[in-house]
Amino acid sequence: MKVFLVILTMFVTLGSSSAYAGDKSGGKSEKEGGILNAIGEFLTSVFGDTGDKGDKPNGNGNGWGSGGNPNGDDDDDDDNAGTSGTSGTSGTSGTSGTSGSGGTSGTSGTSGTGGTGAGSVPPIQDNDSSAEFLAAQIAADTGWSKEKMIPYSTRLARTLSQLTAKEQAEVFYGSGS
Amino acid sequence: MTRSCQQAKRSRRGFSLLELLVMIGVIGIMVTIGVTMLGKLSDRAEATAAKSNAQQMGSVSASLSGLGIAHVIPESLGGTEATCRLLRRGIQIPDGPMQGSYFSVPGVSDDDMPSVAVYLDISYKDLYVLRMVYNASANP
Repeated sequence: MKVFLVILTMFVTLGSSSAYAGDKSGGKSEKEGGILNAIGEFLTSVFGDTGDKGDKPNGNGNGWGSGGNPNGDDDDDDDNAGTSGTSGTSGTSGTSGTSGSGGTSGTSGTSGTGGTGAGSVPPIQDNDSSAEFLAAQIAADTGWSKEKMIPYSTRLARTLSQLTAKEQAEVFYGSGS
Repeated sequence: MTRSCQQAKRSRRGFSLLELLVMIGVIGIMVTIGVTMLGKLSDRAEATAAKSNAQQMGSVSASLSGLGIAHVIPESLGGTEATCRLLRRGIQIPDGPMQGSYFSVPGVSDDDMPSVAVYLDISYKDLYVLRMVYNASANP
């Protein structure tokens, strides 16, 4: 009976201290587990984190722009232009469609539009369109005119164009993307 | 005589239940206080590291803007966090007297990036030298 009471008291004491530690953690959700989480965090900080934290939310699509796929007929005008590639929300550009083979008047397939890179941000290149895109973004953030931001955005496009599309995506969204 | 012997034996047998309970309670309180203090110390250490990294980011950002290298990414494309990630990756000066020089602030993980970015503001005072500025008084 005494042993049972001692064990019960230990559980009650540890439970109350867990609740106390959880309350004192300032409402941070990851620390609300109390004493066990606190000990776990301490051990993690000492020995490093080897556990799998699970996947981070991935804000990027993984579409691939697909190229046009025309099939030219040999005998009539029914050649179908290749459907343009759907714009991938992430990834590499779609390959352009090849022209129809043998059709006398078949129109060649139109080239597929390339994927737009990670998320909604197209790969930044050292050209005017990228500079204008960046200028529009900055103008929207600051309320200034787009034209005013062109000189800066041109230089920013030059800086960012040193990175590959994947590296740019990592910069914009972190390596979890 | 017999009763006094029994009492003496009982007193030598060990701790009473009350003593055990008090001891366990005291240990529990001490553990609680220790864990709480450890947590606070850990939080303070993280904040100090974040401030230090933010200062480095601000310093490198000032150097780059002084060299005319645009690197501050608009808020809608990630803002200070994205700019910090760009600086972590590093920027090589393409031309000018510092051509080939490499500016970077390595060693900041993606998980730590938000806490670093809290201490950084984008200075829009001069359109031609946009840069990140360290803000020590920011509340994380």
